Amino acid sequence: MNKKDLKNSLNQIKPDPYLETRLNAKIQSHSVNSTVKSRKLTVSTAVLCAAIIVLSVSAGIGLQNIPHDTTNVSLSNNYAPETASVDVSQPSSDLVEILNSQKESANETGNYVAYSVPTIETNYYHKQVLLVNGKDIAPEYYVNFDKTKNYTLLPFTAILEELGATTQWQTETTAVITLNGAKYNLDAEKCTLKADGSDVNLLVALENEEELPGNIPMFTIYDGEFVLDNYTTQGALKALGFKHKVTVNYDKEIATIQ
Amino acid sequence: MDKNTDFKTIYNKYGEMLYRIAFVYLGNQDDTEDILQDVFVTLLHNTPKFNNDEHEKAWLIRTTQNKCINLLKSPNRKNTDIDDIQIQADDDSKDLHIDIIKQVIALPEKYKSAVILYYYNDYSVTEIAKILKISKSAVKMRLKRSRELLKIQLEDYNNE
Repeated sequence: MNKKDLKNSLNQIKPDPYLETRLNAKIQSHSVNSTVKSRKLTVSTAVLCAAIIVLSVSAGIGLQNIPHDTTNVSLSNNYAPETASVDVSQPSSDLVEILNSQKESANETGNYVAYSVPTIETNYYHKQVLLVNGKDIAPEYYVNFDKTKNYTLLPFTAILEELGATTQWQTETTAVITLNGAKYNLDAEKCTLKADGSDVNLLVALENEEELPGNIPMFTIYDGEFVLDNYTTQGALKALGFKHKVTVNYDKEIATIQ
Repeated sequence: MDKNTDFKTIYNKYGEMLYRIAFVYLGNQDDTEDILQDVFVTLLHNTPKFNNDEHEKAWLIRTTQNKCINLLKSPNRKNTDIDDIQIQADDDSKDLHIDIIKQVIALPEKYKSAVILYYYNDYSVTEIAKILKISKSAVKMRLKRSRELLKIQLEDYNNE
């Protein structure tokens, strides 16, 4: 096989002509869904607050104390000149049912139970976030949140580049990192970062920080990137003169370097 | 410019290239479309600031690659049977094309982007190094190993 054969074969991999239309529709739909979800959240919060207020009031004054006399209210406007009569003295049957069920729950548990909070659907894709000075670079890089082992692997050189460094890879595993005019030699295989002419390894976790099991840096080379655990990254940033704090929210899978 | 126009402009520029990269990683149309959708949603939602077209292209390639790798790592993903691959070849050498594509799909993940960018998109080693943010020697090494693997496997095919 020569280069032309390979190119011709790769040329056969083509999206069908309707993919653009399908993707566009899906993306538009996603935008609408995001807006609807946002509105749902707002409405749900409002409903929840209203329910709590209603419950509090009903618990305080009791349903039996609500007066049962009928009051007629006249509604009119320019478009509907007819007069309508609405009975507002009586709670709707639905509301009474809800309140009663809440009161029953309260009697059983001794606490008032609010409506269950609607679950907000997560996006269809798994969204990890790595914020470096407020910019999310996770989509471009390998990030791995390991909740069970309590550490997160972060793309070390990419983070440094976001903070102003430049990386020149010499081999697949060694690079020279330039930061503020100073040069540092990174050996991704040995997990060492040393200032030019120095033997001190800067890739160590801080002593006062929560430490990794065995205090051994966790690192790997993944698809050409050097990824390093968050504790050692924090230590290295401090050693390089940064005041940034590395924080990780494992549940939401958000790492922040600020 | 609204998001609709943004999408069309970017899709016309990079859609086919990103589709090809994702397909070589994932080996099936459904996953490929999902990844492309994900990439474009990320782009339009996050609206990252790009210095120039090259920066934008590199971001899209790396993001596509990264999302494919994440999907491949996902425990919920079903393994794709490599025999099920469908392509829209319209010449007599369809079987050969399919076999070559299968060989590319079977390459180790880290080699795939370099192979496509070099052999299909005609990028130089230097350009690929910039896009993938790896050293030139790493690009050369990946291409060399890919060549070795493809050659050996295609020789096996020819011997069958």
